[in-house]
Amino acid sequence: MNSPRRSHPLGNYWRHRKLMLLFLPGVLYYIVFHYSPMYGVTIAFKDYHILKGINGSPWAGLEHFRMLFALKGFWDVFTNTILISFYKLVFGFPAPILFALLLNELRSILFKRVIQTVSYLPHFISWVILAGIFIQFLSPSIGPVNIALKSLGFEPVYFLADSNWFRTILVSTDIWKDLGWGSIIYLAALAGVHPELYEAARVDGANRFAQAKYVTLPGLVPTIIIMFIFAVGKLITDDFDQVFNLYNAAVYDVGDVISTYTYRSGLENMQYSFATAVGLFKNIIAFVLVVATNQIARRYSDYSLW
Amino acid sequence: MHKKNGSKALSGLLVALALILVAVGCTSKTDNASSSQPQASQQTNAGDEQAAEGATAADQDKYAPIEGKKYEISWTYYQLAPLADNAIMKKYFEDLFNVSINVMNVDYNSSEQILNLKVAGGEIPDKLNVISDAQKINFFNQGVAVGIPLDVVRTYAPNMMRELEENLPADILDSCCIRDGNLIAIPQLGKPMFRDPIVWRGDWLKSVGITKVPETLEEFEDAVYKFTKNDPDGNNRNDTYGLSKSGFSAVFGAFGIPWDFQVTTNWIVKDNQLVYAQIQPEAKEALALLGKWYKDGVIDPEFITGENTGGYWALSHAFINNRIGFTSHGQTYHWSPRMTKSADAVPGQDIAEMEKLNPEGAASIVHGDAPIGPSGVRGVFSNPLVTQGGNMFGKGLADEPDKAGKLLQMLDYPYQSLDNMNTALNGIKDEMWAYQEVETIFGNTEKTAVPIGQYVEWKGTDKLNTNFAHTAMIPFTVTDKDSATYQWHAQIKGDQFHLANELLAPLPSEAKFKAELSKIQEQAYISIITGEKPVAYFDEFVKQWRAAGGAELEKEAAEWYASTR
Amino acid sequence: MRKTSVSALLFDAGNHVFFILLACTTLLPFVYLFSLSISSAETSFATIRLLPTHATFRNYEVVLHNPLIGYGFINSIVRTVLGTALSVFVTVMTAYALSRSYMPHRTFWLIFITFTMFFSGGLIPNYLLVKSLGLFNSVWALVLPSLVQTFQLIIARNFIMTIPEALEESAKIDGAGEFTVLFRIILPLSLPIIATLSLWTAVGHWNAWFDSLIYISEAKKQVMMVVMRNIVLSGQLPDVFDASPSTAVVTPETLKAATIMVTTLPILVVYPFVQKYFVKGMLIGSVKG
Repeated sequence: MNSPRRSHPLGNYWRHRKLMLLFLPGVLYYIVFHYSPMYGVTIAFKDYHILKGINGSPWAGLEHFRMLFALKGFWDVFTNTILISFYKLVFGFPAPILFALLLNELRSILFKRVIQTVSYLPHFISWVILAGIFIQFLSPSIGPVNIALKSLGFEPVYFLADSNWFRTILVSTDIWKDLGWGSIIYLAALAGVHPELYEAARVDGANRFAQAKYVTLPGLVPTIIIMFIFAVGKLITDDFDQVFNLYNAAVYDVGDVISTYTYRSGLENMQYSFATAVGLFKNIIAFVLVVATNQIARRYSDYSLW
Repeated sequence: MHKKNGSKALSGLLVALALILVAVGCTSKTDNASSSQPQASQQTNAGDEQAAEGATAADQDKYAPIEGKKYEISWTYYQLAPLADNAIMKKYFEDLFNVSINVMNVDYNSSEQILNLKVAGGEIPDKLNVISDAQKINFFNQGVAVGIPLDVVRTYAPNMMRELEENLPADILDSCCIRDGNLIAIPQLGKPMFRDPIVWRGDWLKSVGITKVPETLEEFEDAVYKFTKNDPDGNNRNDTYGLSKSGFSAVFGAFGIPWDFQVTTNWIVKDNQLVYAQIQPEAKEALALLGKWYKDGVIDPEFITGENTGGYWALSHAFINNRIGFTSHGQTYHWSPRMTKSADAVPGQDIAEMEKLNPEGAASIVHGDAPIGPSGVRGVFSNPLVTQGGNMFGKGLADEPDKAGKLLQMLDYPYQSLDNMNTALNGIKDEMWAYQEVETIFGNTEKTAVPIGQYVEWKGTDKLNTNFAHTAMIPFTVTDKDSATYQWHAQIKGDQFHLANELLAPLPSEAKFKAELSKIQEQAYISIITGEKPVAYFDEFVKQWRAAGGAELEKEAAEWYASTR
Repeated sequence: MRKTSVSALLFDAGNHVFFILLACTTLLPFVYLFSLSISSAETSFATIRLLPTHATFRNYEVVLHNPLIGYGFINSIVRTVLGTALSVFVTVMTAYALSRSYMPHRTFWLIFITFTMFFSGGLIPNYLLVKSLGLFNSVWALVLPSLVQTFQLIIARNFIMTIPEALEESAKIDGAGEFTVLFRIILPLSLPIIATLSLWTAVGHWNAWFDSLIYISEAKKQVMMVVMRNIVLSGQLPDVFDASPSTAVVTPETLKAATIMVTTLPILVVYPFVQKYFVKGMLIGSVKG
C-alpha cells in the first residue's frame, strides 16, 4: 500500500488513477479559467493600450505602484483600511461563532429555524439601502438611538460625523449585517459533531456549559482555524459599498479607505492599468498574510490550508 | 516533515507558474485585439494623421455617402435598458436612411467597463457613446475613436454644427471637442440655463414677518435667523433651521466663489489669472460668516451628512421635511411649478415630493435672487456648458469615410426641423404623437408633441429610449427658447447669477492630488464652520493645500489658461 | 431525568430574549422594504416609516407584468440549478481528492489552487476567454467560470478531513474503490457541508447579474436580476438628457422595493428546505467512528 516515495512521480498518479479522475475536472477548470487568463496580471506592469491588447502594450514596470504610493495621503488610508479590517476581525470574527453556539442551545427547533432565517435577512440588502436607513436611524435629532439617549439624560451624538464613533459604526453595522449569514458554516460544522460525544459527556456528569466547552467547541476548531486564516487575508480589503454610502468629509481621517480614496482620485477611470495595480497590491498583501497565518496554523495545529 | 514539503512545493509552484505565465503569455491566441492590428499606426496620435490631410475637396468626396448603398452602422447610445425586440423607431430610421443599424447594448451604469470590454474584444462601434471626459480623451489618444474634419461635418451635418455653434461659445466647443481642426466628439450640452436654485419657504417668510424676498446678504441673514428663532412653522418646537449644506452655494456666491455641495473644487478668473476659488480670501470671509451662523444655531447641525437622505439625488429631505427654510439643492428645474394647465402636468421633483407631505408649503415656494454680498457680488453655482463625455466616431470609420458621411447625415436629422426633432424624440408623427396646443401658465399656448393612442402610457418611461427614439437618435438636446419652461426660467432669473468653474480641462497632475486635496479642503471647511477650528486656521489650510500638491495644480492651471488666450 | 438548575433556566431565558431582540433588528429593514413595496408612489417616504398608509399591489403588478420576467425567472432557475449541481459535484469531488493523505503532490496542488484566490487575470482576459470558447449568449458562460470557488473547496476539504480515515480503510479492505468510498461513505456524512455549499452557490448564482450583462446579449436569455435592474432603471428618463426635465419621472422608491422583494423572496422560500441539514445530531444513526 505505501510504496516508497522515490518511485517515478508519474507512477503515483497512475497508481491513484481513480482518485486523479475525481480530481481531473477541478484541475482542468482551474487551468482553463484561472491560469490561462492569468497573463492579465501583467496589465499592472504595463501601459495598457486598448487596441494593442494586453500582450502588445508596452511595459511600464513599477510605475503604477510608484504612482499609488506617491498619492498624497495614501499611507493614511492604507492605515485606515488595515485598522478597520482589524477591528472587524477582532470583533467580527467571533460574533458568528458565538451566534452559532448560542443558537445551538435553543431547544425549540421551530424557534431556532425562524431566528436563523430572520437573522440573515440583512445580508441580502445592499448598503445603498442600509446606509439610508442607518443615516436616519443614527440622526442626532430624529434618530431613535439619540432619542433614547436624550431620554436617559445624555447628550445626542452625531455618530456618522464623529471621528470617535465612525469606525465603531462601520464595524458594528457590518457585524450585524452578516451575523446570521456568517454563522451558517459554523452551524453546519456543529451538525457534524458526533452526537455520541455529547452522550458520553452527559454520562460523565457534564452540564450544558461543560458540554459546550469540551464537545461543541472542539468540534468547531477545524472550521474556526480555516475561517480565521481566510479572515486574516481580508485585512487588506475594504468594503467600498459600505464606506462610500456611510462616510462624509467629517470622518475622512478615520473612515477613508483605499477603495474610496482611489475612487475619488478618479484614476481608475483613466487608467485600467492603475486599477489593476491597486488590486494586485492588495492581493499580494493578502496572499502574504494568508501564507504567514497558514504557517502558524501548521505549526500549532493539525488544520491549515495546505 | 510538513515544512520541507511545503517550501519545496512553494518553490516548485513558483517555477511552474513562471513557466505557465510565459508560455501562455507568448502564445496567447485569445487576445484578439493585438492580432487584428494591420499596422502600427495606432501608436501615433490619431489626430496627427488627419491634421496632415486638411479638409480638401478630395476629403469632402471621400466622405460622401455612396448613393444606394445600404450601410451597416454599429451604434451605442445612452441606454438604461436594452433595445426592445422589433424596436419601432429602429426600423423606421433604417428605412428612412437605407441603413442597417446594429445596436450594441451598453448599459449606462456600467458603460465604461462594458465599452472597454467590447473594444478589447475587437468590437468598436461606429457611433461611440462615452460618458466621461477621461474615457473620451483615452479613446481618442489610443485611437479607438477618430476625428472628422470640421468642414466635412459642416457639409454633412450642417444643422447639427449650427446648433452646437449657436449654443456654445467657440472656446468651449474647441477645448472639449476639436483637435487640429477635427471634430473628435459631439458634446452633450449641459443645461446652461439651469443653475443652483435659490428657494425660500414663502409661508415661513410670511410667518416671521418678512414681506420682501431677501436680496442682500444682510436680509438673507435676517431671514435665516428668524427661521431658526421665531418658530416659523408654528409648532411651538425649536426644530427649524435657516439652511443646510446645499444652501452654502448662495453664501459663497455672495462672495464670488462658486461652490456646490457636489462640486466643491472650482477655479475662477481673478485679475486675469485663473486661481483656485476655494482658497481665496473671499472664501475665508464666507466661511467666517457660516461659522458665526453655525454657532448661533442657524445652520442645521446635521449639515455634514447633507440634505438628501437617499433616493433621487436632487431631493432635499431637510427642506421637504420642514427642517430648513432655504435651500440651493438640486437644480432650478427640480423646483419648478407645473408649466401647463393640462391634467397630466407635473411639477419639478422636489415640489412633487413636497406636495405629498405639505401641499401648502409646496405651493408657497418662492424663487429669489442670489443675495448680494458686501462687495456687490452675487451668484450661485452653475453647471458647465458641456457635460462629460459625448458621442465619438469609432476607429472603423477611418477606413470607411463614406460611412462616416452617412452617419453624420443621420445625426443631423433631428436638427433639420421641429418635426424631425420630435420624430427622433417621440416617434412617428400622428401615429405615436401629435401636436397639441397646450395652455401654459403664462396664458399663451404652446405647441408640444404629446403622445397619442396606446403610446400615452409610454410617457415618462424609458420605452421610447428602448425603441430607438430619444437618446438613441439625438446626440444632444437644445432647449426651445420659446417653451414655457424657458419662459418660466427667465422669469425667475434663471439665466442670471451664474458662477461657474472656469477650468475646462483636466489638469495633468490632477488625479495624483485630487483625493488628498479634496480631503484637506473638506475637513478644513467643516471644522471652520463647526467652530472646531478658528477662522484663522484658514491660512493654515491654504498652506497645507498648496504643500499637498495644490501649488503644482495652480501652476498647471495657469499654463492651461495661458494656452487658451 | 435531567435536573435543570436555576442558572440554566436563567441562561435559557436570557438566550431567548437576546435572540428575539436580535431578530427584531434584522427584521426591521426588511419590514420597511416590504412596506415600501406595497405603498403607492404617491406616498411620501421622506422619513422612514414602517407601515404603509394605503396598501396597494400596483408595484408588484408593474414588476410581474413585465414581459421579460417569465424568461428572466426561468433563466435564473436554470442557471442556479445547473450551476449549483455542477459546482457542488465538482467541488466535492475535488475536495475529496485533496483530502486524501496519499494524494500525489497534495501540497503543491493545494497551493496551485489557493494561489488563484489571490491572483487573477482580471476582467478583460476572462471576457476574451469566454468569447474564444464560444460561450457567449449561453448559460455556460454563467456557469463555467465560477464552477469551483476555492474558498468553498477548502472548507469542504477541511470538513471531509474530519471524517476518520479508519472508515475509508475498512471499506477498502472490503474491496471498495475510490468512487465507492466517496459516494457511499463520505457523501452521506458530508450532508451538512454539501448543504452549505449548495446554499452559498445557489445564492451566488441567483444574485449574479454582471456576468449576465456582459455575456448575454439576447433579452430573452437574461437572468432575472438583470431584468429587475432594467425595470428599476427604465422607470425613469435619463436625467442629463431631457430638455424639459420637469416632465421627467423618477423611479419611485416603492417600485425599487418591490423588485428587491421579488428577488429575495425565492431565497427565503427555499432556505427552510436546506435548514434541516444544520440540525445538531442529524447524523445520529450514521456510522462515524
